[in-house]
Amino acid sequence: MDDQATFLRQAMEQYGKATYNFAFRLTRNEADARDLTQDAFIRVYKAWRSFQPGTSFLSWIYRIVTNLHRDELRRRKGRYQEELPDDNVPQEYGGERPLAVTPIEDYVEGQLGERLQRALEALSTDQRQVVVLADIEELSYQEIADIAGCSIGTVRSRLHRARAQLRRFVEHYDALHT
Amino acid sequence: MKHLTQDQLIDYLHHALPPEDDAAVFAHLAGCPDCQASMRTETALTEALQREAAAEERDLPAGVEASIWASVYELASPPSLLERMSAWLKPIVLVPLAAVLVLGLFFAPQIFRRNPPSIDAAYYLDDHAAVNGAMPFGDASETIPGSLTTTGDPVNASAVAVDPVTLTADVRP
Repeated sequence: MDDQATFLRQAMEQYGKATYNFAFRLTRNEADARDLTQDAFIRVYKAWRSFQPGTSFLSWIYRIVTNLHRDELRRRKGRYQEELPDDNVPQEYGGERPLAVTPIEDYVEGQLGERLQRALEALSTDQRQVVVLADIEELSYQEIADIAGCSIGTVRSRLHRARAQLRRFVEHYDALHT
Repeated sequence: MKHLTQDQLIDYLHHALPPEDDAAVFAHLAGCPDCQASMRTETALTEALQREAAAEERDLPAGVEASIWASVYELASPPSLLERMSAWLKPIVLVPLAAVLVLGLFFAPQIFRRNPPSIDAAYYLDDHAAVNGAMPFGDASETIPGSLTTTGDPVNASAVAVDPVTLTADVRP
């Protein structure tokens, strides 16, 4: 087995599962996640020399998955749509906010799965990507910016809006179903 | 008291604030029950997302790995025409080239030594004989004075006798 194939085998052994799960969280679809993972590792095989030793392989392959997913969305929709503007204006709440006694606090112990899944699916692809990378993968804003190919300000903006939308969605869902 | 914004709390939760802002948020949270409650909400959301992600985590399907290898083998298997040509040409070109180089190195000194001079040696012999015959003091000249020879033989001109008295007189002060 040559170096290129060895590189691919080790990459799949160590990061195959993480890549597949990231692809699934991004697409919320098993078939798409399989295709994305397959295409991503084929691209890793082709471009293995461009990987810089000492850098994060996971960030590299997440970026590949992100780009492939974006390309696929463009292909399907004709063009890639940004659902929300990429500004970085902080959300102001004024001087006083209501006490944060929200249903979200109950989710940790409660039945969260379905509600949160729906909330995640309702996010735009960009927002979902940032939430997955920031809250589930626990990457820094800089790492997320590198993967998403945008500025840190854009990452911050998307995350703030996505989390606000998640909170609203879950609260609204609970109001309807309680 | 001005409360922290939701954005500040989110950035604080993700360790994305500059050190001085981080310290300020930390200090504010210690004394503000309202912001503590908001922070608990944000933390709960993150924990919920992580819990959900862990619950739906799955292994890489075996079929995916097999498909990747199949694609890779397909990419790697058919070598290009150029690659095939170079594989064929390698022994054909390199072996004769190496042989020529070895032979060249072996025969080079002999080849350079054999190089004929630009003017034939016979020319020098003939030329020397002609010039020598024409010179008054040449080896073959008959005009060499007999007094300069011991024998008077013009042929044996190399045996020139010099008068010692003349030489002595010349060196006297």
